Amino acid sequence: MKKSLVILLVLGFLGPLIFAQEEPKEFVIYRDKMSRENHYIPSGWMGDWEDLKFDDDYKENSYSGVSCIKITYSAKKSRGQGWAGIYWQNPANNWGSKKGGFDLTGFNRLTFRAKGERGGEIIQKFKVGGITGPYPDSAEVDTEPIELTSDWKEYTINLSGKDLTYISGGFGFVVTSDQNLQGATFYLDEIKYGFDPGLKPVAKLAEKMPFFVYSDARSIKNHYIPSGWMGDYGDIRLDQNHKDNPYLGDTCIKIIYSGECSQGARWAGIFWQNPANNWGYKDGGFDLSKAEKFTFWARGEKGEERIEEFKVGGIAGEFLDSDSASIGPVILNKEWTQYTIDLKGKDMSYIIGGFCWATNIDVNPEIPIIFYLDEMRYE
Amino acid sequence: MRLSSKIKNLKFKIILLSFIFYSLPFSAYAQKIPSSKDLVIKAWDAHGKRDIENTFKYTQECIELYSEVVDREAKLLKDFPKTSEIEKYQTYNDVAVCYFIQAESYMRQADYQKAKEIFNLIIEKYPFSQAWDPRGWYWKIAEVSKESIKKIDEEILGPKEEPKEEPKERIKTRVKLKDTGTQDLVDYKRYGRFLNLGTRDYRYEILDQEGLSKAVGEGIWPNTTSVRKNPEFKRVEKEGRLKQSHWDLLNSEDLEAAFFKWALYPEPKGVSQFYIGLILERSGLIRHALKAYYSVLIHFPDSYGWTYWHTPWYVGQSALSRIIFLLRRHPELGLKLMDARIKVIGGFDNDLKNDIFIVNPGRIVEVKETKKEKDEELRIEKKIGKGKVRLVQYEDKSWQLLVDDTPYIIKGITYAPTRVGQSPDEGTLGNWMEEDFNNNARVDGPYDSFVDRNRNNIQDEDEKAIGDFQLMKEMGVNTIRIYHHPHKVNKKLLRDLYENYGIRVIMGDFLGKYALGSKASWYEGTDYNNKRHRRNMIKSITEMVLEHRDEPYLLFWLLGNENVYGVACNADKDPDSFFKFANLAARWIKHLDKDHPVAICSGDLLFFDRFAKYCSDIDIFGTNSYRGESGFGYLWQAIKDEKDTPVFITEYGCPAYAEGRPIEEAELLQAEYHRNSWEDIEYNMVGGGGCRNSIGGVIFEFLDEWWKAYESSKHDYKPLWAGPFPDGFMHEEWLGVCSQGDGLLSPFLRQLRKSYFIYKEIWGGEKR
Repeated sequence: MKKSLVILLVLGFLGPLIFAQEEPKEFVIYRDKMSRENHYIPSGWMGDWEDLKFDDDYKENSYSGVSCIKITYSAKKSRGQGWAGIYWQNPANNWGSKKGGFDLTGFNRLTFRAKGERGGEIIQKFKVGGITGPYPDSAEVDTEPIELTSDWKEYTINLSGKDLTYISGGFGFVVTSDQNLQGATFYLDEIKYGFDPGLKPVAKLAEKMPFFVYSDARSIKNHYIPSGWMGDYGDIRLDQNHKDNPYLGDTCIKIIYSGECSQGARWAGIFWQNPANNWGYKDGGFDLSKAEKFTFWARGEKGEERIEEFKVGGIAGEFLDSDSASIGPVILNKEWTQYTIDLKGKDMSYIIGGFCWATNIDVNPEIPIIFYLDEMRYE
Repeated sequence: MRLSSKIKNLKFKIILLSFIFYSLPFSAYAQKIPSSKDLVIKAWDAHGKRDIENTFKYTQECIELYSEVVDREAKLLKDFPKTSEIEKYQTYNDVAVCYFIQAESYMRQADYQKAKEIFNLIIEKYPFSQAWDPRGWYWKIAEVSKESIKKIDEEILGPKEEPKEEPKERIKTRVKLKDTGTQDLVDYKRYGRFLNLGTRDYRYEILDQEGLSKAVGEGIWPNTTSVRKNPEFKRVEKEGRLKQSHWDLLNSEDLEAAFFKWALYPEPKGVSQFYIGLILERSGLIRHALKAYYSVLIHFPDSYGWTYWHTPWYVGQSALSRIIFLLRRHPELGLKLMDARIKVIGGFDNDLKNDIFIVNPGRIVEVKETKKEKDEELRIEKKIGKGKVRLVQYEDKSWQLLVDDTPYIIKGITYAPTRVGQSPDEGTLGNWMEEDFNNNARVDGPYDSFVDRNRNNIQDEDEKAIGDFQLMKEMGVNTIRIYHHPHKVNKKLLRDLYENYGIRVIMGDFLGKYALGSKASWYEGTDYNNKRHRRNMIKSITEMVLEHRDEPYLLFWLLGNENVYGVACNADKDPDSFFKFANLAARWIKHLDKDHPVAICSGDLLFFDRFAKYCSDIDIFGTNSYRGESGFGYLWQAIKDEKDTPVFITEYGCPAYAEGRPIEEAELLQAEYHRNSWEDIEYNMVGGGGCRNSIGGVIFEFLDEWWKAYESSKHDYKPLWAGPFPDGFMHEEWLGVCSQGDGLLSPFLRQLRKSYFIYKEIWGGEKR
């Protein structure tokens, strides 16, 4: 009897312990407005931040609890950026300048619920980590663009295999005006880190072809961000949502290079990167091993614009593109013309720089030059 | 107001207006705000004349007038602007120069504290300021200010001991290829097709990229893959050896890192292929280097880069010349480049937009044996001149200079033995033809110099005076190049030079360069359309010709000194007028002297098409050219394509200093540069395998001149401009084939460099 009591007592102590170990862990970012479980502060407003309205005590039709987050994006480009986003930071407004991240080791996923006001709203990316500076996050994971539905849906960011020892940017999102021309209203709820024993690290699989860099402004098939502005970057105007005479679909890309030498370089260009602004300093890119060629359509406003180089790959940093290929110089036609970059024999297994163009004022008799791009894809 | 009052008032207004009207020209003149540039010129002038009052008047006026503008410009600058953009920041630079002049003036007055304060102000407020040096480059004002402070602290106020520098670790590597490709001599026809050979529409279309990549191997276009798989790459990267810029690596001894960096760096493909070739060549991988250079001809023949002065650099032509050089240097390869030609129509100006490339990449073929052609006497087809110095062209279109009917190869050197401490900037540059500092009634440099054989910087007993004339004779020099102004020419000395040392003189007139001869002010500069300037230049030329035409030492006449680059003349802005006037001057010279040809001294090939168009009376095209370690590249062919004329290089040379290299090694590099340059000059002479329009060259120069980088008492190491030299920069105070040692026994001491002995060997100078 005494023996069984001892065993029962032991079980009585062990029970919660064992249960605690088996119970999926949670680390909540948002449960309800005033929830004590919440971590991180939505303080890192970015881009056209004035285009965003944020209500984290929205009580109508929350997924669970009493409130959810309602975000309204006006797409007015109030700061001329064409994008906006919010980082949940710890402490508030920490852009890596002070110590403050959480050690989230032991978790392997971030889940959240989201829905759009109407459905069809596109979130360029949701993200975890990625804050740089003297106290940088130990990991950065971005989702591909997500098109929301009008019903609540759970989304998961797989963090398996990632170093989560220091994360001060607990969660974030980015929306763009190109993908939400009329703006977007969307809702978030139940944002939390958790653990799923069945979750495996995401193996980079070779992407299926065709693989688009740009299809249409709003397309979620688009990959890579035209973030790597080079040379006289102040001379470039980029409109990814140009509607006049696209080659295919509703929109094409319009680029104006003014040749004013804003930065004194006499040349300019843009790299489409993954993730944005990645010059090889961080992991990213896609496995495009299956690609045999890269094709795109281009035309010049006048038909004599000279682009020195169109290129794929070639970013060289700590993380190195596995290869590069290019064509050029190319004198553009006034009519849409398809160009091909041959990738046969190239190792395209790791490509951060999905596409690039560059030109200069010394070879273009007439400045500014205006040219258009469309249907840029790996095949 | 009453009417009378109105009339009175009107009268007053009329009187007032009349007064204003009459006084307007004066008041307007009085109120005209001088430009910052004007004030800088006036300030330098006053400073040069040691006029302290006006030095401060003009500098202060500039500072006060333009401080607001300067602050605005300063905000825009985060780094040094590119050379082509410097003029945008003129006012900012001018104000910084004014402060600099003030600081220099304080230094001169021994008020070192005040001088340091102003130098520090420049460093703090104008870190990116630059100023144009009429010698042909921009200098960084804050950097020179730092050096001046150092000089005050260490040399003037502090201990005189030289600080010992810790030797930097030298990483010397060579490229090790993992994938050398399947073919040494790539059969391009197998992997693609040549379209429109020899036309402006040439291109090579790759049909089998994979196959071609395998054939060419690592780093050669279009193989961009293999280099990334070279296991050495990760190691080099891990060791942090790729952190330097690709330009710094190019001039380093870490060739392995340079190769990887250039293979991956996103420079234009033609440029990167060229430099990959150079790196491979330096690594001794000649066959692979040839592949890299040839890939430029095949894929990127119309590729271009820019020089320091923002003049175009045609990479295809350079690659082609490099192949010819390598095949000439390595006959053991048994290869020859056939039919290759890249002509750039419109390529003699700075505008790329008007360029048309006519391309045939030719082919590299195996040759079994190089048969030496039998020397046959060539028939003269054309003669220029009737005097003792003539030019002839043979039936094979080769040119030759004849003196007394004997072939004469110009083995020339620029001779200007400047005493350490003298400087034109300070107004202290003397006339070497007359200086006699040891008062022995003999001119110093030519007769009293001695060779410091053991380089101990003292004259040992066995180091007797020998004189530069004898040293030049022993070196094999047969010509020196001098100008008849601004200093007086010592004809007696030149007669002795010719009679006793066998050295002739190319006598030059600057033709308005640096405003010399035209009597224009420096600020105004020579205008080749200005009647007064033209009259004065003709007068100057007339004086020169009448003075020297009957002298036995005279070889021929030389007009200008790279006037096409400007500097106190407008030949850069109005090259048509310049060349028309130069031709007029040549015609006038021939009217006065029928015995000697006339040459021009231009700057590389800038505006050569205008020379070809307007200068039918100029017999020889001479040009200052610094094109790098393998000679003059495509220069000979580019000239030949445009005009059938004899050519000589009026200046070429290389510094005997290279950052990071021991002096002995730098001297070797200088010597090698000279050997290659002369080999190229010779290759393009009559009987050579090249263009056969060369008639010789003039080395720049015999003796180091210490004033060129500002501190005339210090042998400066600092780079003055980026160019194709051993460390990627010109160190203008180190161009001599002789040095002046530590300078203490200047102008007498000579330390002969390896380059001196190279010429002694190849020019067959006399043995002592």
